[in-house]
Amino acid sequence: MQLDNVSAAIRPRNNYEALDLGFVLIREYWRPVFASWFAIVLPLFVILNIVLKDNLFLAVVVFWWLKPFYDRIVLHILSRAMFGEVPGVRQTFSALPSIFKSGLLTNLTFYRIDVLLRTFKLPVWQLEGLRGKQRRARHAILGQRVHSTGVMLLFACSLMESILCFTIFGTAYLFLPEGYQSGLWAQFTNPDTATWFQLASNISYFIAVSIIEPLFAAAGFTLYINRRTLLEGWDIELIFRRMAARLARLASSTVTSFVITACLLLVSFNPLLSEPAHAEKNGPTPEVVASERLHAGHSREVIDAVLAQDEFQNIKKIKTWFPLREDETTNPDDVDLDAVGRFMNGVAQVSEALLWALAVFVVAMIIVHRDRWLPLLSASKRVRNDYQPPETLFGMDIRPQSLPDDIGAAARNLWQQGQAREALSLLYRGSLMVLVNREQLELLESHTEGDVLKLCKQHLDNMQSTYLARLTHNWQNIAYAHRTPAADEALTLCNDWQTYFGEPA
Amino acid sequence: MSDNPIETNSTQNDIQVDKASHVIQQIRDEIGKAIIGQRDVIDQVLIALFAAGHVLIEGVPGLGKTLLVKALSKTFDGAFSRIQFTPDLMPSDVSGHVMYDQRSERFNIRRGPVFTNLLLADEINRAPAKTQSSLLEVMQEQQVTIEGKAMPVPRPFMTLATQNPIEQEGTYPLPEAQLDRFLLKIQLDYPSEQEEAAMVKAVTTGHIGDVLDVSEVASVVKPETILALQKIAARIQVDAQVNEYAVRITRATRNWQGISLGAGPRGGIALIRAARAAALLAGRDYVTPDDIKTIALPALRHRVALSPELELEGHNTDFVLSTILEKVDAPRQ
Repeated sequence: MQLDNVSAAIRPRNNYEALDLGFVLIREYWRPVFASWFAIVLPLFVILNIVLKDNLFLAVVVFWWLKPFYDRIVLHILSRAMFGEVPGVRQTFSALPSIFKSGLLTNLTFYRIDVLLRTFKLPVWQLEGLRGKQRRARHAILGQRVHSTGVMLLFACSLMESILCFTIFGTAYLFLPEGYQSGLWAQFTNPDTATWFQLASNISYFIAVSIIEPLFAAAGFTLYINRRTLLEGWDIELIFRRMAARLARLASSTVTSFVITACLLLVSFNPLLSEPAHAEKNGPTPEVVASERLHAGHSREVIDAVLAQDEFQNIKKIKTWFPLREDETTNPDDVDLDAVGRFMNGVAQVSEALLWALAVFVVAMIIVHRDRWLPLLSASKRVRNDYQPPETLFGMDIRPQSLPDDIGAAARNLWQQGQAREALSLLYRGSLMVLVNREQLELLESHTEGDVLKLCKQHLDNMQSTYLARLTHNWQNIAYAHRTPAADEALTLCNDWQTYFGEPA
Repeated sequence: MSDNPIETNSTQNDIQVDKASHVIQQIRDEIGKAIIGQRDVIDQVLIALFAAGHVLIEGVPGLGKTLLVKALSKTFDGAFSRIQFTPDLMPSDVSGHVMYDQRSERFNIRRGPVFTNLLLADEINRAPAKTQSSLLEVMQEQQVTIEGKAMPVPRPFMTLATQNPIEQEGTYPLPEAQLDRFLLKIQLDYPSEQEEAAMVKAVTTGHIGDVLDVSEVASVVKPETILALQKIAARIQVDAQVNEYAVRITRATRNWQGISLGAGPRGGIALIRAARAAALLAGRDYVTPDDIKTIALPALRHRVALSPELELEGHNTDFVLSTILEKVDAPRQ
């Protein structure tokens, strides 16, 4: 690795800038990277799908498992391209044995699950060739401040890879005939279509990996480069190297210096060439090494002479304020509050006390009124208390005060006076009054006699239900068929009413 | 009250109704031998038969529609035929046509399958409107005209048309005006678990293939008895209050929120006709508001159209009609 030949600007960067440098590298060297990628990885993918054609899912799993291998190819190309030597497809092929030897087997087995800083750690394996304790120590030093960036890189790349994979597959899926779009999962499990769908998903995955994986590998590599720049002062080293090379070059060649001196003379004699713009056109002014070495005191004299020139005599007087006692620090707690400040402080304290009191009051109220809100939490157990018994039902007044005290006796009287309909009506009204007011049965205007019988079953015992059914039948007979019941039946109904629906003793 | 003339008539009716109720119970029992469960559906079909109406049955295939019709026709020794409606079915395939007989050198009239007592029109919405209307005309007129010659169909005549609620593609939905001709629209649902288990056992034990078996169903009455029962049903007493109740329900459908098209006067007429038959089935010679309420859903569900908003919300007509029944006041006495 010749540091002098590096093609990227080496300077300390923050971690995300370093990742960006990796993406720039791929943009710069995409031709050699993708040429080798498609020459090596694509045939591998095709072979995997042919060999495992009976289980294409396994093929894509194996393809995924071999990712560290692809990273090594990318790293091989970029690490050389960055230092001026761009390897072609043939050179990459011939470098494959060395790639295999650089710990690939360990990476594909024991360290395969160590994905977090995979491409960041890869140069230590592949380029530095370190193993065992040395490698671990090196990883520990290098990985000190890049861990979170490495995780973010992995996260972003995985996400982009998934998005791309699904997008490519989804786009292809959109172009399928309607019959095949019934259900994606069904298509994957249907023996007729499963192979083609799996193959399509494998190809989508390959394309996504081909786009993202080189970026992932390159970003990991430049993160590594940046870390080394920081730790080893590559930037400083480079400057020193260049300076040393420059000085060595100037000192070693007297012929060169002669030519340069001649050029300088030419430049100074030609007024047009002395124009700075023109001078830039012809390149930077060549450097020369002075023939004799001046001592430091002489330099001081020259500097003073330059500073004494008119250009440096432009003196201005500026007035500005600055504290006299800068060393005195002020403590905010010691600030002497004025009247307004004290008042505001008081208001704040009172407000705080009031808020605390309010909070305590609210909690107390919640506890005191727990009976009200606890039932709201169990909606199914909520009991409707808002039902108001209607005053009339089926056009009949069923208010308790509108009915006589002894309904059975009153009905009997009516029956004996020949008012059969009124007698049965009174009995039926009385029963409804009991159901609505005493049993809290929710009856509506739309309920028919049959509905009442159905609804009251939960509220009445068997004897009461049987009585009410008999009463309803007789009531319907007289109401809708205009048929008077037999006297015995009617009198029994009148006599029994008190037993089943009278006030309980 | 004893001098009330209605009461005298009622007593006579009562005796007839008692007999009728006995006969109906026999018919029910016989149908019950072939069909397990679905009691409501059987009752509604009988209501339509005694009210001399026609029914539209909606349900997925394989719930025993054909079996029901076969069993019913056998109970009164009636004729039964079935037409499978298809897009290429012609009106003459339904009503009949004239054919030239070369041997006798005469035109012979070949009667179509409508000349029967019970007609099962399977998947009526699969045929085009022309064929549908030819059947609906027979239902209304109770006669077929071929080559200018009017021929009445045998009495009693009832059409049981079926519709499949799914697979609406390529169908010709019946227009509202024609739906109105059906007295009831019956929803046929899947049987309960116990009923289905009993049915599977009964159908598969000792039977060869999947031929519908109605051999156990005995003929208990003659077609004339059905006509007599229809007459009794038509004479069932309806109180003015009950009549008003039916009209109130029908009218409520016309300006109810959520219904874009309410039931016409035919809705009220259907309600009362069906309620009369329902009372007969219950063994009563008078109609109660309960009869109206019970039969309201089958009698009205095909006569109302829901507003698009409610349909989008996934409600059906039964839901809206139930709400109406909840809100319409029962008769005042």
